[in-house]
Amino acid sequence: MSDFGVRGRIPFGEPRQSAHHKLAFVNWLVVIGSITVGLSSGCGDDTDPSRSKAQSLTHPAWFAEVTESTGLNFTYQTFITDRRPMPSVMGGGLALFDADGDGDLDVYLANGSSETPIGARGTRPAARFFRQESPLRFRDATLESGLGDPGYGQGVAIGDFDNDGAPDLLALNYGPDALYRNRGDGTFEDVTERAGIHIPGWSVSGAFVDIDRDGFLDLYLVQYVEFDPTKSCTDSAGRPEFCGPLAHPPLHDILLRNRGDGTFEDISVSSGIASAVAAGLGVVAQDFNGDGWVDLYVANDAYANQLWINRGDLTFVDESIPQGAAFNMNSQAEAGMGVVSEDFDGDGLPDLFITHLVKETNTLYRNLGGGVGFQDATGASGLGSSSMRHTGFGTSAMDVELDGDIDLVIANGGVNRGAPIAGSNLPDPWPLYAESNLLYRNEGGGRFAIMDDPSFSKRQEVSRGLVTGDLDGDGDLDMIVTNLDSPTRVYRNDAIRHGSWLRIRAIDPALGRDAIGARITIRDGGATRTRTVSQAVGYGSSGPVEAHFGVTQVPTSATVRWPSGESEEFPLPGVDRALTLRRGTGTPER
Amino acid sequence: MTAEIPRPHTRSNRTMLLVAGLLLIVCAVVFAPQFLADPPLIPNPIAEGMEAAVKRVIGSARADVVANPSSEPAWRRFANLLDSHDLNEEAVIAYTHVLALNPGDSASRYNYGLLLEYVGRSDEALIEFETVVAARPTDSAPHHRIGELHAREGRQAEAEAAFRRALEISPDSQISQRGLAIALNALGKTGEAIALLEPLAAAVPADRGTTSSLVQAYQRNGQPEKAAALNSVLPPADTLALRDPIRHAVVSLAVDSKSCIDRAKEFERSSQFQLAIQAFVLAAEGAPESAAIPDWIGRNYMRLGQPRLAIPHFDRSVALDPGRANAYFNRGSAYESTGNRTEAIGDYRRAATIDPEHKLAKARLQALGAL
Repeated sequence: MSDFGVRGRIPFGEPRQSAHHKLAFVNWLVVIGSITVGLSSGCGDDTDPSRSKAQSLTHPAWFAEVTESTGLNFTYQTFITDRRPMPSVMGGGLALFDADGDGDLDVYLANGSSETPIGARGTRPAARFFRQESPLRFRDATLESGLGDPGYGQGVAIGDFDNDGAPDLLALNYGPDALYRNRGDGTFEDVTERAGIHIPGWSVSGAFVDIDRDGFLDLYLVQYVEFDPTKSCTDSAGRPEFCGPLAHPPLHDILLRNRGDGTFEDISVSSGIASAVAAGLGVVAQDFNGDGWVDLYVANDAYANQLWINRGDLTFVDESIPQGAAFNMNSQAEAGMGVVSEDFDGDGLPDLFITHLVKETNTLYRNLGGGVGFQDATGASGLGSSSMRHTGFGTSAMDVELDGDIDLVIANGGVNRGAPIAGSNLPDPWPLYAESNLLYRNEGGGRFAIMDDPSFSKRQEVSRGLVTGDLDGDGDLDMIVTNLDSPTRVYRNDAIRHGSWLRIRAIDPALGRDAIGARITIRDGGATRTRTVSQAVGYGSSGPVEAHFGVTQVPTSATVRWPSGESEEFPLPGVDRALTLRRGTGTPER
Repeated sequence: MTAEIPRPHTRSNRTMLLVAGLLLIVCAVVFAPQFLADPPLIPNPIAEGMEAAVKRVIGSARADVVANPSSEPAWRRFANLLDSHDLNEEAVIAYTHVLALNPGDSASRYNYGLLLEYVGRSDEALIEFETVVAARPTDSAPHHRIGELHAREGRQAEAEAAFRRALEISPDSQISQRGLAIALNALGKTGEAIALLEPLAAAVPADRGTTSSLVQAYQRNGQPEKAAALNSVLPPADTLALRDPIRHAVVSLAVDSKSCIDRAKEFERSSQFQLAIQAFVLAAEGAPESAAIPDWIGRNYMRLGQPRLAIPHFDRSVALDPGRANAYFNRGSAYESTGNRTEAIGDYRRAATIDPEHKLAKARLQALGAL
């Protein structure tokens, strides 16, 4: 019998009484040293050594967690067993949108279930809807809104599919998705059947986008895998573990064309979208090649990402490989989760940022323009090794401190067990999966430095969805993060401001709705700031419909390239204000 | 009259410092043995739910370390086992001990460097790899790793140099050729990248990484038609991997059922059936409810011409999954090989009943005149 068998388990660090050797003294010094380092760096609750580098910056807190005072009392529930069913580790998208047209942002939160991830629609409300009553004060309005979708929720997509000026909502589920039409007063009706939507599979993210420029928002639905609940998986140590995407057959995504009469037709096959299968999780819509037609980029989990280039005739071709956006620098497919597209380097072109699994970096693809495509600029941008010990999901590109360039926030949480978090009060098994979040400051030109924010980046939970929006109406962007089986967190932006702000809505009166896909460009001194009006963001989430700018000068005009391809210039009356630009008027409205 | 400014180190100050220093030395002499009596921190990754074989081998290796905490081989085996089972955080600690005991252990330093990369400590990883390079200047693998590390950190010129050094040592290394081509492509040297990638893609047409890199190089080199044409015939998977004996030695230690099955199938492919059986037996220990594994064990005994040894494994397979037609067929074959015609026919019939399309079972029944 081995010594181990005789003595039984010896916990980590337990002293053994008989040994005596020099190494012990060395270890003691190491321990004392590490304790000293831990004490000097704060509470010692973040032991991430990758943060102890020169580029890690300390600064006054950028965010304050204010969840308790907001009334946003929500915990994403999971169905967890020893078998580790895969849908239980994937959900958690949310939406920030003005559901009732009162000018502030309300919150929809997808929810799972602690009972079973059956995939069929449950009978009780699961998802929750919180109406913002006053700045940073929310009230649970799930029942009155009709938004308590009973599916096993994964994500959500927002878009005004019927052009009535009120945002509608698609609940994305493991199991049938559901379309909710906004009656215009912040209450919703389930129109799934009437709209002809029948998506029974596993959807995490979706995007409402006008692919054929007919004025109606079509719907792109990312599909994950054909989950087999009888299949069990183990990790490299043979322990039961959540299956990865390769354990189940991948699916092709779904493209639904809006007929304009409140119904949709499935054009997945005719459009070419169905020609590729992969385990998709995130999607963003942008005119990546500048031809005036909106394209789609899909982050796939362990499969090549897809860059669906819109050919303008209701067909798409995947150019991800020739355009350099399918794989990482080493031509390897990564575990794509969340994705955002913004102009990180200030060259006016939309870049891509995708969150990934541990042992992979998150990846920044820089848009080189001129038909050349993208280049993996992760390492050069400072985003490389600092993310390798994290599993990123939700992400958002935002100008936190209003210095004009785009920073990055990332919600992390594992899908494979790691070392348990000491002192964690998360329910089992989540202490094994909890990770800290990441915050990067753009130092200009697309070069990032990791920031240790004592509120946001120190908390260790299993985070999933993340969206940003101006919740308190003070002009900077706040943040909401969902977590598996622990409270959703509201973070108020308290960063010291380095400039001013503009929040701009672009509305096409002819359509009666926001001009999704419009690109707004302003000149900020010598810099060009470009934002696209879009809502699909990060992981299974949807953000506000307005474009947010931090500016260091006072821009005098904004140029809007409408989805139709026309450009229009608007004078700007100043900064620190929310403006609405209506197509054809040439004058901004406050 | 001017006041004398006190000098920071007067004679009396120096004396006090000397006394303090002596006191420190005395304290160190008195108390160090107590510290030395304390054992090293020994990671304990054993957890509920681990497969029995994994628990056993890691537990045994850990027990060796507990019993011999100054034994470098014990620590190395423990570190390697932790590493092979992806218990990275614990393996990092264990390798630290290995290297403290034997700083010249380049293989452990190499593996330690890789783990440091995995946990995001790439600057430290680079130092470790460079130390390995200094110790093993004729080994191309650490140069390649340095190239990959630089490439990931966006230092393409350094990556190019490292890959070139790897190729000076191992000119035929396809993975280093690919790495160099990718670095060249990122540096805008698309012509040079294409010159490397075209012959490589011809040599390893099944490697997606090579082909996709060539597609990108064509695109950036202003040859979109070539890019599109090649993109349409892209292979489905990556096939190139760094041939790395140091890493292989570690990975091959894994005893979880999945790793064992993978290894067993590799042995099967190289007709090493006895080794395949050994690996499958280990796999069965981790996954005792699997009906497939005993079936595979029996199949390899058949390949070795030992049907009598195969039969108990087929028995176990059909006991675990009575609906497994192939196991009945295989057991029928074993019975037939041992001259037991009656049992053979019975099993072939069961296979054909479970799977009416089982052509082999029907063929054997026909051959035995039992259809």
